[in-house]
Amino acid sequence: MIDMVLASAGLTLIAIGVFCDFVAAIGLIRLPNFFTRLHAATVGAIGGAVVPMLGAALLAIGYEPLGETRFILAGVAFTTSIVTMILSQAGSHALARAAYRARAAPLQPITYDALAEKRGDSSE
Amino acid sequence: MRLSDIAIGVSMAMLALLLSYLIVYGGLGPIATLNLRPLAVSFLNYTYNPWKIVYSAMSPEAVTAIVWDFRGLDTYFETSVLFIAIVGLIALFRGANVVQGVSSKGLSIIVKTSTKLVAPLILVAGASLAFHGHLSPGGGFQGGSFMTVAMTLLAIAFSIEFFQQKKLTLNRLLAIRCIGLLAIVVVSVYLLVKAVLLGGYAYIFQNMPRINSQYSMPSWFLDRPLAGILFFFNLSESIAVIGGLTLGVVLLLLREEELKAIIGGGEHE
Repeated sequence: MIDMVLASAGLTLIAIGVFCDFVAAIGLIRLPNFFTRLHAATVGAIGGAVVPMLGAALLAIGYEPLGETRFILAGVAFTTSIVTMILSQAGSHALARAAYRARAAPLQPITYDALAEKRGDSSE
Repeated sequence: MRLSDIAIGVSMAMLALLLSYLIVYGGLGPIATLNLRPLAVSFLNYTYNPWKIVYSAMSPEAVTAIVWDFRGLDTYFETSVLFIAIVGLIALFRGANVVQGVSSKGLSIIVKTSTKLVAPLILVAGASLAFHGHLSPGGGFQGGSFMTVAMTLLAIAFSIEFFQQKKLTLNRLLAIRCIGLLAIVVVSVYLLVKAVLLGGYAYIFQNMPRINSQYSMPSWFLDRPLAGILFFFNLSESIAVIGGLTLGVVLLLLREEELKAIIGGGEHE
């Protein structure tokens, strides 16, 4: 019973990950500028890598024939997903900040630029 | 344009399908039979063999046994090549030093916080890779490079002035590197010196007792195989690599203000 629940929860999380990856792939092609595409890439990293890895951890715990190994697999998958969750947001934040401050990417389809207002910069 | 997009998409999908087909049906190959090839038999005999210690490296990890026991001298020369490359880099940047307060205070607080969380994890993982090199895949160079990743993250997120504030100057990094290399030399001639002082025969890079030499490095630590020389080599190699590669990274990250005095260019302007 419990392994059935774990397996279906894990498969659900992996399905969510597939959906997020699909959305991220479409967004990377269709979105207009660098910053929005970076958002799509982060959707792919968090939704498409962290969530399915948690699902893989649940799936591994629920799969009895693996024996003791399944706890190792689940622990590794869980740790990897947590570390990815910490690092992918930091990486995309650093990329976006560097691109904004170096003016390396056009801001063009923009509705509101809070950073420019904060720095008293009205060039954009 | 439109057609090429479709072609790229279809070919990527075909590639993914092909890869998953290969992985699921036989891409991993048939399970190996129980009959070992003669090469595998000899490696199994010579890497961990408590019944014939004179022919054995006493390390459960065959690759580390080959790298540091069977061809230890060769590996030492490889390490020296890397050291000479670092020495060349230092000669190029001679007199360079990290100046405090030039421009950057590092990256933003988000990056700094996540680096603080992750850098100790990377250091611990690299250390376990290095110190377990005689028991599991890994080794000194791999572990040292792994730890250098954490040092590079720190250097970029906190700026290289952070190292200076933590008393980790360029000279200290070079000293760490030299201590690592010196430790390799000391470990490799330790048994020879012991034999000269106490009488008897020994070899350089000797690990376990050999046919005409009863001297031996410790092969057990409590109830775990220590593999004698392999553990000490991995330890000192990882220290040497983390010192040398971090030094190289810091030198390559030096700012313009610090390099002006060395590279010059003043006389042409």
